[in-house]
Amino acid sequence: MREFTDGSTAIVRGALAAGCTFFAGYPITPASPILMTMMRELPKVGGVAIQAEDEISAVGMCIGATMAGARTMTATSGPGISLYSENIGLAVMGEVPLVVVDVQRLGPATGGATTVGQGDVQFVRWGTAGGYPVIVLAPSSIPECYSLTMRAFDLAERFRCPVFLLTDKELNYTMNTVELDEYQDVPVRERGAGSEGPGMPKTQDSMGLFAPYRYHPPDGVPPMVHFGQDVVLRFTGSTHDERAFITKHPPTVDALNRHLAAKIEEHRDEIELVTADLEPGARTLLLSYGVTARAMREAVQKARGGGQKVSALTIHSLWPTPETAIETALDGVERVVVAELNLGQYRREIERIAHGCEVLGINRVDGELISPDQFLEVIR
Amino acid sequence: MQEEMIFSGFGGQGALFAGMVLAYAGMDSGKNVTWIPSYGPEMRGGTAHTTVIISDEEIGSPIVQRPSAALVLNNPSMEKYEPLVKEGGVLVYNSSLISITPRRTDIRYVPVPASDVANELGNVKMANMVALGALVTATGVLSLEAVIQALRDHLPESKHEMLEPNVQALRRGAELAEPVVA
Repeated sequence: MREFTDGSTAIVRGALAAGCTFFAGYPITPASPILMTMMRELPKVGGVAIQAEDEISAVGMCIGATMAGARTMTATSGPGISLYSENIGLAVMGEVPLVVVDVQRLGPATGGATTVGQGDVQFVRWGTAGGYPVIVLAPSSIPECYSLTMRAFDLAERFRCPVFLLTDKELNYTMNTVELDEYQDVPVRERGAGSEGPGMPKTQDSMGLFAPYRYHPPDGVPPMVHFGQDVVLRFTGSTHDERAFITKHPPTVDALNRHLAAKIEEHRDEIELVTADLEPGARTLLLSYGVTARAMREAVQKARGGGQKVSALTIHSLWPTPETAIETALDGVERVVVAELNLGQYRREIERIAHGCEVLGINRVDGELISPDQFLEVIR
Repeated sequence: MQEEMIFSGFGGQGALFAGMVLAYAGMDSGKNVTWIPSYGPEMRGGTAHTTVIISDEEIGSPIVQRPSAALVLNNPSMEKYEPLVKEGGVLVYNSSLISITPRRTDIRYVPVPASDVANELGNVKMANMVALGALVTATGVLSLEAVIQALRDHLPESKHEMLEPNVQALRRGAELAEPVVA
């Protein structure tokens, strides 16, 4: 069976399959179809979808809904992420599972509101005060929009943090024929699953008080309790101890901030996701993500059809950087070409990793997509 | 077979919808298809276009540098896409509104008075279907019956009072073009 559909629809379906029960958003091209579709579909399964009064409230509502027990998602575009920024920080500090879809468009400010871009790659990673890590996934096809949305929910539950799904106008708006069996379900962990297993933290402190933010070891994840359950739950954006009481006690604050980074960065292997198409003897590695990777894959087929050797790496987990997979792909090649619809944002990451290997970029910021021919020009 | 087409006109002329109907017909005929909408931030009056690919093979990149066929409904679209059509390709244009004289000798022009015909049929908004009918005949990309069936199957229920007039518009357009010589 086949259908004719787009990325926005696949994201909504992925969210529903992942058990999303709450969505809030504010209209913005090119993310509005997700809001519209959520408002149509979520009530049918008993969930709530709200058009908030603005972006700040939309993400705030999501944080509140998560802390009250919902599984939540919001969707916007780059200018909306600007307004989300403060509350993204709150979700990082409060360790709130939350899926944020950024359907990228071109340029700063209103920019090319209806045109494609991939300029938010560094922005979503560093988009809130303090610079603590988030997880960013980037689908490159409609079926991946579905499966990576599910995966985003899973990782949000596992690590108690905001997870971004980074897409773009073309991925969300372009309609394609898709075979139904191309949609791959991803298991989504239950809330609190991240704190299960050996060394699970006790939720009572030495005085018998409930400790909602007790984590152990430093890269562990605190158990998840909701407002309305039969314990007193506190929630704060300030530096806090395990009971969520505000503190400036240096060792406690130091441990908290290191924990927020460690719980993600020390578990890169659980997050890392790439599609590696490596050919022995290839001297050139093409590297891309999102919609640009589609043109890359077409170019690889054409080049190989013409007898050329070439390797390709599609990055699905942009942050934390999948260093192991990138190092493996770089092994033996002389040059890597990073293609993206910005002026070289992810190329910086590759330059950091690619010792002794030439790093080139294919970059477009004119609202058009990088074509397969642009890739073919750089293969040798 | 891979046909790469561009449909372009003012917002409201229905270029995107015409492309969508053809894309559905392609899918229902067992082909792979992609449909990319492209428009400006204007609420109305801007130009809008869609790129449609219909292929027997899996479609990698959905973008098209040189379309094998184009359907243009207004002068700005004629200006933009006439030079891009592939050598030997087809350009269907709305001769009711387009005053530009064709400039190339290496493509096949199909002038269709789409707005006038649609007016005669009772609603100028159907110019897109007249032009689509002509494009289908001129390119042979799919059968006219497949396109009519796609319209029947995918036009939202709320618009069904316009179904038969649109079918008529497709048929009239199809008669106005010379079939492709195989």
